[in-house]
Amino acid sequence: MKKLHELLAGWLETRTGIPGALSAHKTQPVTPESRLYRASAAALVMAFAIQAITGLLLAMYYSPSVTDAWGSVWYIHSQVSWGGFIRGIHYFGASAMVVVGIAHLVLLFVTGAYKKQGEMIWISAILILFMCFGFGLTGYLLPWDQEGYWASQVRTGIVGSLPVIGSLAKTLLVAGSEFGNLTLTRFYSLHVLVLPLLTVLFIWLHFRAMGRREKHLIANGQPHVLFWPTQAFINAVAIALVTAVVLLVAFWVEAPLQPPADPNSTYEARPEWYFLFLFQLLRFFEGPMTIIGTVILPGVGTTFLIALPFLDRAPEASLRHRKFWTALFASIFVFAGVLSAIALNNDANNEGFQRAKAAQEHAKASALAMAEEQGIDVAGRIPTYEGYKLFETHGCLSCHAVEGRPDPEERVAPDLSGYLSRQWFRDFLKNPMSPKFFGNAPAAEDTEWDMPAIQHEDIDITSKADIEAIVEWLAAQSGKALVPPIDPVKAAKGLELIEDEACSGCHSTEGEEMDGPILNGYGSVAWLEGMLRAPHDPMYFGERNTMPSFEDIPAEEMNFLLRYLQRL
Amino acid sequence: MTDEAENTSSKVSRRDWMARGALLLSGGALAALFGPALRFVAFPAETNTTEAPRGFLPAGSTARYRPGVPIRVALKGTIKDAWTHRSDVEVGSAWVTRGENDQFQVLSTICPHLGCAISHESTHFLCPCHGSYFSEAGERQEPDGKPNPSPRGMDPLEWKVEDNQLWIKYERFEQGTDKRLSLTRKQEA
Repeated sequence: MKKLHELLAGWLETRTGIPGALSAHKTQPVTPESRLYRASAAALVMAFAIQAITGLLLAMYYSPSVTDAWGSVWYIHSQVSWGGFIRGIHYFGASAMVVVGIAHLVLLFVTGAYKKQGEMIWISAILILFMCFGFGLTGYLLPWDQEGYWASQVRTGIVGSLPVIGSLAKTLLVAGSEFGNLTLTRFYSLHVLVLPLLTVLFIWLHFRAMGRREKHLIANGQPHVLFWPTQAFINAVAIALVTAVVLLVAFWVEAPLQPPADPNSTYEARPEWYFLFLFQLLRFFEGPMTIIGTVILPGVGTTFLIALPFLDRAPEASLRHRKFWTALFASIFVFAGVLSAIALNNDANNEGFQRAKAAQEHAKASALAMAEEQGIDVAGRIPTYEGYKLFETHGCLSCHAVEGRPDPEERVAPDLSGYLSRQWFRDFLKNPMSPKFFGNAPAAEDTEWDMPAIQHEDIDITSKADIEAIVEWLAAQSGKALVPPIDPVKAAKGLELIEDEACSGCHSTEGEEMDGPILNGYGSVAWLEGMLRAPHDPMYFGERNTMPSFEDIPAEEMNFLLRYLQRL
Repeated sequence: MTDEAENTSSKVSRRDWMARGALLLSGGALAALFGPALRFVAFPAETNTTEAPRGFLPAGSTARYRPGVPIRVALKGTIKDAWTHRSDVEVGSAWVTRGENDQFQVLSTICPHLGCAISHESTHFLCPCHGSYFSEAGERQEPDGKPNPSPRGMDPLEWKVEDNQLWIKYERFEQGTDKRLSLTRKQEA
């Protein structure tokens, strides 16, 4: 009796011929010299399949619009089950495709596969490699993060600088004069429809060409074996190797996601590693010479690669018999390698770049943590992260430190790390005139400005419990969500102490104008907004104030800023 | 095995081993992706990807409603829609009919049959999609013996009046079942 799957296969065979066609490769003859590059071709197809599968999965969550692209990628990255892993596979898989694509090309060269009617094998391999580059160029923008946004600005800028066609080509690529929704939808369409279809076409072409050459070789008396099982096994090893490496890397290493694209910022973007040599090349040629780096040299290299089968016509496949072409082929890689090394070395020794990189890492960590806390609004913004950026752009960091940067001891205004937390109040009360707080403030030279430490001979507060009670009451004032629950009994005692002791000489707890800032509602949204808009108001720092007033910050920005300050 | 049966038995076992290895390795490569891929796709089944606002939503002043006249009112609130938090969006709507004094009848506009929006005709409620028919009290009816695809009457929503303001608790229910099962409460639990 026949087994069920045999019956099914037979039924399908008579009606479609598919099972037969599928197993036809088993009996395909394989010559020994095509062994290696057949394995690398299989690995390349697998790398592409991994990209196709993970790409399909990512498309279930990704949304190509200016307001949603970053949010949807962040959602995949940090919310969806295994999202970071799937995205990681896609991210590192892109590099794997380039690595395997280049390795395949090298193997084709070493085995002389472009000889003996193998020209199309070679040309289609180069086309596939160029598809990989196209995937990289279009895919880099899709998360709409700082990295992709600024790197793509440079790239479309290069397209725009091309002679004659540049301006039109850039407009068509960007779908307008500026980056926007249509840029994303266009890049997305290229990335998920146009390029994959072309890649499938070129892979098909590649395999047809490999099969044809094999036939030609065998007709000329080459020995051969059947594909199944030895070649199949070699291919499977290559496939498993590529998959294992990509999956392991994606499992252990997090694919980067920079903060949302912000046209109103400076960002030092760097291309993917495989474009680093072009990036460096561009630095060598400036002004009217730019075209050498953008068009002429890459063009010469590409033309040489494509034309190689027609240039090197000698029948011998052995490397020893084509030293000249080998040297030329190798020099492309050496050239690209040296340029990449220079680029990496420059960055490593560039202090400005390293500082920018560190700031970028800080911004990245902040954006991801803040998105986690409160999600993303309809305009695609993370509210406190907007505040974080405003804090910098309004120059707050030139006087205040936050989260330990810049050096709190060197700032002229109080360190705001952990602002409004119990620990912040504790540290502040212990020594308000330390360099970390008001010690460096310009007005502090005026002796009247001296706020005494809480354990001071003039103040009768000595016990730790009393200090803690005062801290408790102060921490309760901001209404900040992140302060852990307030102990009302402790806070009430704190208020008593504040009113009875020396604090009340300068500070009011009922909103009256006195020498020092009012303490009721200290750090609350209303208090902070009032202080930011008019720090010189008698309710706040009065005549002693040296902080600039930010009276004309628009309401929405102020809201972001306040949310950020309350989160510190 | 095949036509190359002249091979010695050791060669046959080597071929066998390689064939199995080939299948195992390429199968394993795909299988390693399969589990995470499945979890990734099924994520919305294990997590609430959207969150409707909980509790009562404002439905305007009670003076807006005249006795006996059903009014369709939009319920607005803050929702979480995957990565986006949107405030002041319409999360749903209700048919509100004022009764005696401050008594209200609040019915979901979602048809219990397949989820179309129920409209109000001069004397009754009717779902335009498949003709579910309800009395003005929201009861399932079969006038003139015409079949009614809805398995139950219209779904009532909780409401309250405070300071002459009507508040409605928006809720969604399982469709196509005789029993009224709250999806909102299920999600909250």
